[in-house]
Amino acid sequence: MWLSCASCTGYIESETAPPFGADPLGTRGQGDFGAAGSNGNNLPPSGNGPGGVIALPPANCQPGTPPATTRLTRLTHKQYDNTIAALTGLPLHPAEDFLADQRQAGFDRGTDLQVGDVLARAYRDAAESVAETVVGDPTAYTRVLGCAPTQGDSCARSFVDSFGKRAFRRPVTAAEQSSYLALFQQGPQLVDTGDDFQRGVRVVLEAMLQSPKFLYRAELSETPAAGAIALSSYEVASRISYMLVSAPPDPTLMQAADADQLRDPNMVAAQATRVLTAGKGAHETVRDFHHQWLELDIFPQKLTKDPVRFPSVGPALAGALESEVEMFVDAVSFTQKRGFKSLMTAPFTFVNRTTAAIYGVTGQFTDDTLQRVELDPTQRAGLLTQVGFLASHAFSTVSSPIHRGVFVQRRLLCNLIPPPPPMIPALPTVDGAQIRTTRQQVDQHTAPSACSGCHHGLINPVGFGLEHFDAVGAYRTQENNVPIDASGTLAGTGSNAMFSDGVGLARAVAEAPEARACYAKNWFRYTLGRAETTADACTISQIADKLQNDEYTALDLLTDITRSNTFMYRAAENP
Amino acid sequence: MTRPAIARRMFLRGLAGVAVSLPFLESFAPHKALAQAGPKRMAVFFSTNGVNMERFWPKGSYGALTADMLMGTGLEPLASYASKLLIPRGIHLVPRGFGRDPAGGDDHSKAVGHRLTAAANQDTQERYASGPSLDHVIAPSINPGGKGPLNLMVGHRANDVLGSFSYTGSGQQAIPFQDPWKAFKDWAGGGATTMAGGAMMDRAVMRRQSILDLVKTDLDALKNSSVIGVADRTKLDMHLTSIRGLETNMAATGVTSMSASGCGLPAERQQEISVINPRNVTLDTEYLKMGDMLLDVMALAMACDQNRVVTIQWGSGAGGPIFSWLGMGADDVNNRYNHHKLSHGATTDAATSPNLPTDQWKSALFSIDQWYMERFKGLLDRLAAYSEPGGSVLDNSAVCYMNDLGDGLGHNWMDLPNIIAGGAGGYFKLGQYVKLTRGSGTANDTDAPSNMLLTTLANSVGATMPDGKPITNFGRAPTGKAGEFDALKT
Repeated sequence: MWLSCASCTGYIESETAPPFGADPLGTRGQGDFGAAGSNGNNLPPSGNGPGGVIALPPANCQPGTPPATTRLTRLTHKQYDNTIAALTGLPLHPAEDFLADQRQAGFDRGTDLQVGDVLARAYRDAAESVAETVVGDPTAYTRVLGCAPTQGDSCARSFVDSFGKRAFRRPVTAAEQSSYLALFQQGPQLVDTGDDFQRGVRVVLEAMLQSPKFLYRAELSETPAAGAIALSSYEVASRISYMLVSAPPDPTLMQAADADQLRDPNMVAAQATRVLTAGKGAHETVRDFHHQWLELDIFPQKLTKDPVRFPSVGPALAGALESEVEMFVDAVSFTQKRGFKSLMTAPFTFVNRTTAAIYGVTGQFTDDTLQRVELDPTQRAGLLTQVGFLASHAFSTVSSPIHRGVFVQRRLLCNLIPPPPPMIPALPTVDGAQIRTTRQQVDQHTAPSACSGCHHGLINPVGFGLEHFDAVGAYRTQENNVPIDASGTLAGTGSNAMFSDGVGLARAVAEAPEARACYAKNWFRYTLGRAETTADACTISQIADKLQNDEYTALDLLTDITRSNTFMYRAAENP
Repeated sequence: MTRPAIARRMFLRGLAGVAVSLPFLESFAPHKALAQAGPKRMAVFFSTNGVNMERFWPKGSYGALTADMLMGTGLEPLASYASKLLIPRGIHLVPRGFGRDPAGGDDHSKAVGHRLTAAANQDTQERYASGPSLDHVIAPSINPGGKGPLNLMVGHRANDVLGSFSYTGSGQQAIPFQDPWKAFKDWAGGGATTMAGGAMMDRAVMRRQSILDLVKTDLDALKNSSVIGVADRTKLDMHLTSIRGLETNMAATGVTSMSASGCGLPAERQQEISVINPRNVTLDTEYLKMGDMLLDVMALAMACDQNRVVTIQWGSGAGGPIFSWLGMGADDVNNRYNHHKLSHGATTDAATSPNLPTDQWKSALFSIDQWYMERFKGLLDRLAAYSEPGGSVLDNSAVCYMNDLGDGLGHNWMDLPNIIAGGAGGYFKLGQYVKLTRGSGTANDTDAPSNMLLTTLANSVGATMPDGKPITNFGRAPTGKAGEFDALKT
């Protein structure tokens, strides 16, 4: 939705068109190093910045043609490590030492990820290390070989075929078999240790683990399908396992691909459900998504508090606060088998001794472990009333309705909030006379016309709903002897629902179609590794609709993504 | 992961200001002719949030720069280097910030995104710059084998445009090393196979070459396939360039040349770096220590000619640590508010009007500026300690200080702090304080666009376009200009 915040920044954002045109400076500039397009992959600006917010159609929409997307998606570091572990059967995780990847559309699993020279070196070093370790470990060597070296050439061939298929997630071609066999035969000249067969295996392992066929999910299908292209069963198998649980296809999934069964959406959904319920992969996906969506990584930077008033809270508490959120979302999604509404409103959490005191819960707690506790449902509800969020969106002594309001608008409602203008007036002081509370201070500070559009219109009414929670997220009924006023509205939504406190705010978010749409969009961005385009709007709308049902869990959502037009099909054209 | 051993038969004592000649450089015969000056390098030391503009700059007139012009200023720690500094004044950011050139997020996003790219920010959530940065353009040109630059960072890295000012390409942010041990290993070696030289070395090189040939064949096949579009070809080209870099650097890998030449850290220092806890490297409490370790790694990489383009970024845009080690008392503002808040004189990041006592926050900024200048001097000391043909590593380098803003309170993108030390082997004037604007003032948005500084720096170290032609315009019309700052050149 477009906001008329003309006075905020001097930029006018219209109801219909993005400001300034697509590329005001000219992408074909006269400099020596012009960019190819306004974003890295030549797609039109997507729904994350001022370039365009995707309007969702009603849920009874018909999905259209899927968008043009990259055909080469680099494995994320987690996917890389899970693949190495699956291929070798050893607990090797070389990617833990790789440098982090950049974010794209809010998550580090983007389709834009590339291999620069630092990563190429890291991949090489990892491939060499893994190959050496595997060949040196009898169990792993046997597993990787799958045949007896005494069989000579036929085992070499069989090794190249079977390991190649597992590494590339599809059968090797005749040309690949011939190149890798030729490399195998050079083993004795290229490796110092081991017998001839071991040398051959080692050099083939090193090569395969650096091949683009291993490092990227390559989607090269050209099978036409009603104006689009149908991905092959192998390509769909890789999507199911990598997108949903960051792992390579397991043997059952590969068999389904071998039998070309993954062109049928029902089979795809069945495999997706199976993959999501087998093992820990789905737990990690749910944990990782919420960690990134809710920006938990900023906790260590945002927990510096007044040591006199709040001696127990500091950056060292960040780990426990992150774990609390992770355990909460896991409990809601897997133990309770509930969805978005419970995430926003469930009155329980996981505490240690320090946070138990902040929550005001009694019991026996330790510093090292987190225990589940029930919370007062008149005070607390779901994610927005958790200590980590509240404390990291506050100052050292006082709360920050603005930070909390901006977070809800951006992360939970997907509304665009422009940056503040420069040179705004000084904060009025809480003088105990005219201004006695944080709410009054913020209200007055943001009253000038240059500020009120965004602040009084969008940010403050939401942030004020959390005023019962102080700088560390503890509940309070008064501030400076003035009773807390936590009334507000869910501004920036069609309903503009009113509430009188944090529990009311949480319930309003749980019920807001915009919040469901935002949650669906973020899951979409995380899973597909890209921002949504207009071609994805119907998929997202249908998922958003289903989120009304609290029994529609994250796993159901992920399964439904596999049913979307963009999961099994791609546009005929290339970006 | 166990840390592999690094051969350390000998090491250089280049630190502590003792000049040491480097016979090992002569063994790099494929890369350097013996009689010529040492290679030219570029280093960029980047900090954010602007400076205390009232007290930063040299006192006195433009022209010759002397030590006493720096006394009492933010630059005072550099006084002993006055004759080796070039301080240009009046450079403005390109594209411009502060509501002039649109799009790309707030002022800090633009400041960090544009500083080393002269490119607009993208219209996306992360707001990355839409072009490569200077370091990633010139490194393949001047590094043997076309290797990319070494990017380092101290402190917390934001997850968007504010987190790194380096780009390998449009929308492709270069994530820097923040762990000094990882940064060291990346060029000093430490791969699984420790190569001890001789026949084993030859076989290992052959193995790597054979494998890379196969990898390149696979990449080329994909690239030439009709199924692949323009954007994916760019992606494959980047990968191919990285592979070519691996190839050419194979015979002269850090490990081999390190063990042969003895170029390394003093044993105790290497031990100290090897045991740091990787999970703590970005904490504010580790800022000083990590910074010093990264400066050691940076200077060594340059002196050992393992990378001729190195950057070190201190803090994210609109971020920076709480400088608690500069705090004078329990209530000192440096103990409570991070750099960004102090740059606004405020207790919050969003308030852009001061609410702290003026003398407190301005003097806090001044002491932060001097602290960064002490670190910068530390880098100059390290580089000056290595002598080579041409003088010292410092003399052969363009060692730049840059800040993404001038006045942090006003988010002012004009009159940006820039220092060039060393001179790049006589390319730049030294011991000079130069005004680049035509009028008497230095807050100007047309005369001295920052992209011209990037063009000048590129030429100072001998970088060229891929086809060998000179770089004449690192930038983007209409807000940048072609050409170099001739007033800065000898």
